[in-house]
Formats: sequence, C-alpha cells, structure tokens
Amino acid sequence: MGRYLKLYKIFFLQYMKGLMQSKIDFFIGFFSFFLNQILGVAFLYLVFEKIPDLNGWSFYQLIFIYGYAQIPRGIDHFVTDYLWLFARKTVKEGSFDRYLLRPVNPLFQVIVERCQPDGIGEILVGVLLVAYSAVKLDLAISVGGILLFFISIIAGAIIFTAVKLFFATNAFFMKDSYSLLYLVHNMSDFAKYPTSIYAKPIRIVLSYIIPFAFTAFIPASFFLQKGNLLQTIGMEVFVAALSFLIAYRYFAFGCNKYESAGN
Amino acid sequence: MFKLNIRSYVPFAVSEMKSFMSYRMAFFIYLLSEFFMMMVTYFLWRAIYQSSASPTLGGFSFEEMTSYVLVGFFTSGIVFSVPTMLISREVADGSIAMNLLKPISYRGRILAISIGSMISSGLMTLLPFMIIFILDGWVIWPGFERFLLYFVSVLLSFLNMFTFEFCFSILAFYTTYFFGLNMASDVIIRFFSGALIPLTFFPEAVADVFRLLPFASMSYTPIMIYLGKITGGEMYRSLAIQLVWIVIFYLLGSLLWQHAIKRLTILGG
Repeated sequence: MGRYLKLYKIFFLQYMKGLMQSKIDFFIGFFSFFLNQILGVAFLYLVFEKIPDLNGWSFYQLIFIYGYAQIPRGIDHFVTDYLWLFARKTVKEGSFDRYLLRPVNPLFQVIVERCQPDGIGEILVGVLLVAYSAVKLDLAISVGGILLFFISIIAGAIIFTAVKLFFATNAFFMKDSYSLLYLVHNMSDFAKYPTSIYAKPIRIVLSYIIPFAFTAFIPASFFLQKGNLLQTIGMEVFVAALSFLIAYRYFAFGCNKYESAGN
Repeated sequence: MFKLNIRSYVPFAVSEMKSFMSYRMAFFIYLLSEFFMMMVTYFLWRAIYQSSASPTLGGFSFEEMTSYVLVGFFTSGIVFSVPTMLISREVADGSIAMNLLKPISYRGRILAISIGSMISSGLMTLLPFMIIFILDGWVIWPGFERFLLYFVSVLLSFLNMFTFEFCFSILAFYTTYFFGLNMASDVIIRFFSGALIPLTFFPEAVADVFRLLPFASMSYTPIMIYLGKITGGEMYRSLAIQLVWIVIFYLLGSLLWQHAIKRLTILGG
C-alpha cells in the first residue's frame, strides 16, 4: 500500500510539471467544465421564475442535488480519466502488454497514466453550489454531517469509477469500448435531478443496474432530511463496495483473457 | 483562386457517407446517448408542467414543449453533424499540409465532408425517427408548407453552424488544447441557441438580444418556425438574420484563414 502511494505521488508530481507548462490548456479545460455546470443552474433558475417548486422540491434543494452530483463525478474525472483512452486504444493497439510486465497492479498503472485537471472545475462548481444552497436552506452543519458528506462523495466517486471500469473493461472483448462507455457515462446526467421525476423503468435502471442515483440524489436526500442514514448513505457505501468489486473482478478476468496484438 | 467545380467536391461527401456506414455502430450509440439526454429534458419539463399552476409556460403548452424538445433533437442532429474537430485534428497531426497541396479550396472540401456527414447522420438516420414521432402524435404535424419552410431554415442553420465552426476551428492553429475550447463553444451554443430552454423563458430584453445572435439562428429559428410560433413578416426577418450571419461568418472565415495559414508550421517532413 505504502509503495503504491509513493508511486502515485511520483506520477502525480511528474504530471503536475507537465501541467505547469501548459497553463492555458488547464485554464481552458477548467473554464469549459465550469461553464457547463453554471448554465445548467441558469436553466433551473429560469424555470423557477415560473413555478414555486418542482415535485415538492424547492429551487435550493434542487441546486443542492445538482451540485452534489458534480463532486463525485469530478473526483472520478480527475483521478481515472485514462480509462477513456484505455477503452479506446490500449487493447486495440496491444499496448496493454507493458502493464502486465511490470510488478505493479495493472489497474493502478492504467490509472496513474494521467490525471485530468478539468475535473477540478466540476468539483469546484459542485462545492460552491452545495455550500451556497446549504446556507440558503439553513441546513444544520455539524462535524458528523461533514464527515458523512466526505464518506458519501468518496463512495459516489467509487461508483463512478466502478461503472467506468466495468464498461472500459469490455475493450478486452470488443477491442474498442469507447462509445459504449460514452453512452453509459452520459446516463449520469439523469442523476442531476431528483429521480422521482422519471418514469419507473428509468428509476429502476438508475438504482439497481447503473447505480448513478446513489452518487447524488439518494445521499443528498439524507442531508435534505428526506431519508434515514442507513437507507441513503449506508446503502450508497454498500453499493459502491459491491459495484467496485464486480467491476474489478471483471477487469481481472479481462486481463486473463487478454491477447496481445502484433507478432 | 480556384475555379469552383462542384464535381471535384462530390467524392469527399460520398466518402464521408461511406465511412459513416462502416462506423455506424458508434454513431447509433452516440445517437442513443443524445436520446437519453433528450429524455432527461423531457421528464424535467413534465415535472415542471405538473408543478405549474398555469398550463402554459413561456408561451408553451406541455404538448408544444414536447414537440419543442423532439424537434430540437432532430434539428440539432442535423446542425451538429458538422464535424467540428476535423480541422483541429488535421492541424494536430499535420495532415492539413497534404490537403492544402490539393488544387481545391480547403473550405470547400470541409463543406463537402460536412454535407456528407449531414446527409448520412441527419437525413438518413434521424428522419425516420422524426416520422415515427409525427405518426405517433408526439410531435404536431405543421402542414406541408410550414414543414418546407422549417426545412429551408434547418439548412440555413446548418450553413450557419458550418461557417461559424470554420472560423472557430482556426483557433486550433493557435492552441494545442482545442478539445476544451470546442467543449466550451458547444455548451454556449446549446444554451444560447435555445436547445436547452426556449428563448421566451428569458427576460424580454435579454431574449431580444439573443434572437439577434448567431446562436439563435442555429436551432431556435427553425424549431419556432416548425411550431408556428413565428410566422409571416417575423419569420422572413428571422430567415434573413440567418442569411446575414452566414455571410458574416463566411467573410470572417476567409479573413482569419488568410492570417492563420501564414503561421502554420508542421513538424517533420
């Protein structure tokens, strides 16, 4: 474990050096993700000019859920962005070989290939929105609450990683799983709003099959005093552990089935 | 500079359509994910109308809003089929050099590719969807004349998008991170073109300004024509605005191109 942390630090610092050479790129990426979320909020703002509440949810409650959804997504984006490239080309080009040759966990090696600072834009917007709406909603802020919040966003990020890993792993069997991953990842858009607005089949998919509902709406509803701890954050942690386990086993299975390209 | 000869550009459009056919699985998956995004919007609006005391919001009834979302899906399918990353990719990998050597206009070639992409992804794939929507009664049928006007307006939107994206792509000559820029412009276009929310929801003064911006010409105008929300003189004025923007961006594109092409450096060779 200690060795992995040390390795991650080395890769991370190396990556930061590269980043400092292209500050403008960093700023552009940061800005575009930031803008994306802000315009999503502008949409809600315009709509709430016309209605008092949405299915019983107030404007600030919706902002809270919306912001909440950005944080785990941003953390996962920051840490595991290389899975996108893995899905697109690592298996197809046969470059997975080198991960298998080194005496370090292959998944770890794939992940440290890159960290994506664009994710900071999402995290920042998320934190701003959650903090702003928490103040407006007069939510009681306690040490325990903050601790639960941290546990919840980490668990949410793990759910994102698990979903991404699971669908990226399909590359072992279909060579290029990028578009499939894109499709599933985009379903996280559903999680930005209360799941109660959707038709039943969509709700079932979001809770039990691709559990994005657990990354935002379900834990956020605990803080909005609409659910008990065990059924919200407790379940979220359980779902995170389970889905990561499934995804990792699938990845390990894929590694065994991997056949190199080339001679 | 070069004599405009349509026949030398047709093969680019045809080859784009052929490559679309061989990668159609990727496109269908992309389409499906756009469809999901549309469903999010649909359910959001459904909840909004259920929570509203008045049956119309921003001048739209729920049925009209459903049509707005679905026609918007179709419209952006056509308008966003312009391959925005193409020029930046050619700049990044240097293949632009070979394409500049060919005795044809570079912009003409990109336009031909865009048209090929529009015909295959927009017309061949989305039109059947649209017909199903109309036959199922989810989208109102506007009558033949209005549909034709809508179609003209969509083609203008497409040209609008094309000339705009050509100007915008020239930034790829100056930055290495075009992906992020492209994403920002995508977000801005989707918002200000009314693809997310009709411009009538904005405060009146703001909406009036937005209607004049090129973004409204890219999707709002055709959808509103389809729904019969803008008619008569107002409609012709909107179509004229679309035309004006096409001309402006066309000229601007020529100007920027002159500048950028002089500073292009390709590694290696």
